[in-house]
Amino acid sequence: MNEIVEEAAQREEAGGSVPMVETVGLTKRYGGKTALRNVTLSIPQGKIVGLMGPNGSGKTTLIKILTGVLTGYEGTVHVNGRIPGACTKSIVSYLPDRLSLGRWMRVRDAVAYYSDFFIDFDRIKAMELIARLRLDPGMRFSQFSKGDCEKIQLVMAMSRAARLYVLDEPIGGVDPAARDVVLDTILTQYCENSTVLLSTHIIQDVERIFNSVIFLREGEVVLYDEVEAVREHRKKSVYDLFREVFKC
Amino acid sequence: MLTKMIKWDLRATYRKFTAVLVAFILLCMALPGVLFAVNPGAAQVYSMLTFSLGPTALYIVMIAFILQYYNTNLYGDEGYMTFTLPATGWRLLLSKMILALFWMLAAAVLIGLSVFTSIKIIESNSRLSSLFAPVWNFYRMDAAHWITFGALFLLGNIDCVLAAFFSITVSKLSVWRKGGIAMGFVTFVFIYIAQSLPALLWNGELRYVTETVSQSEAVQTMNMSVVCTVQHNLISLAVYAAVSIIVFWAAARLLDKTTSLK
Repeated sequence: MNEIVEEAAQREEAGGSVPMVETVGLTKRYGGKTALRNVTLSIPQGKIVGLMGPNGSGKTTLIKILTGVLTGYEGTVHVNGRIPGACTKSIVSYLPDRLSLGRWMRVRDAVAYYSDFFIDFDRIKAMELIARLRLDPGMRFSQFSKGDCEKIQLVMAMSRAARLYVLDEPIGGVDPAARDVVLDTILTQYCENSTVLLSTHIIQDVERIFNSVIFLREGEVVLYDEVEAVREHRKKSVYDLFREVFKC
Repeated sequence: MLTKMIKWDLRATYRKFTAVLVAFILLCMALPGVLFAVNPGAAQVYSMLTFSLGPTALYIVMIAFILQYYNTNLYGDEGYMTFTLPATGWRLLLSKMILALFWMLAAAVLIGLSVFTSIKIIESNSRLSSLFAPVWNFYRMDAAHWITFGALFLLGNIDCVLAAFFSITVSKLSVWRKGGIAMGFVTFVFIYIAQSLPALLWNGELRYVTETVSQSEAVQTMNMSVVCTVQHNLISLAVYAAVSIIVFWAAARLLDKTTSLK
């Protein structure tokens, strides 16, 4: 599983930079409904990218495809130059929009679980973050609130030295007061030169951390631009532009 | 990777499975005493029923939990973790397979003890002994038969669990839309019918018995070794082995290529 990490490092040393995420003509259908329609995009390494759109716009579908939990699509998808599979999973840290760890687990079990399966997982960092968030490592997931479960999962995801972090609605279930803590955790813990793809529709709180944004509507990319360019050329914040683009 | 997966599968399941096994042990230990206190006359008969019917119930519950764990760990919310582990489909499947075998063997040990107790109860009662004499005769076989039956039991369990795992995976394919459960059921039944055909077609010995021996004589001489000869068992073993390999390969491939979490 190390080979893909080594391969990427070798490519970087050689000066060649492969996009971290590249999709060409990506289309995904659920029965008669098209969730993603001809999505073509390229996300370079070392960027924090916001994936935005209203409910049902295809954000989670795109994320699932990139992380390898959803197959059966048309078009091509590459993560660090490879088709999503067992190899890419070793360099992608995924935070799903639900509790994916067993409810029977204690927090310390979750740390041990990640330690066992991901060689890039930093156990000490995880325990420090858990302590900073004042979460009891001896408690089971079934005893935590939804927001606390999300925080623990975020800690797990961000304690990996991954090349791509895919975070699906990381602040969806946490209260406004805790959002800053969550965002700071993302900003301070992700590895330099890594790419972060973060989906959300709570834009005001997070737009400060993005380098670029992707707007999805009904499965199509309607905007993919640098945040600075949005502000300079359109004289709008991402939040205002989002409201304008997705006005009902 | 595989050993770690088995370790975490065991950690996830040991509470539930141990509880079932302990409940079975307690039931088998407590019930004869209760029955004896209530009705000493019929206690032996009811105890014998407990020790022979209880294992069937235990087996069904264990299989149900094994399949439930496979379903939730791969296709429930936990699947979002399982399918993002850097592991191939065959490792995921083998881990679940070994877990299932471990718990089924644990249950088999208890079932063996239970059946042994049941036999001892029958032997201690002359009326029950004479009643069950044809059953003893039916199972009186040589070592070769018992060895092939043991192998058949083990491989049959592997084959059954793999067929069920494969059927669950088939039922999750997005192409079925709302008919997934029905398609999973059809897949399971199809595998079972298909793998039973070679053994059913090779039934010369049984036909010989039914054609040449009168009905009363047949009842007296009927023995498992006549119904299922060693050759018959070996054919079944070969078929089970072939089906297990094919189903394992197909299920692992589906896990790799057609994952579709909702």
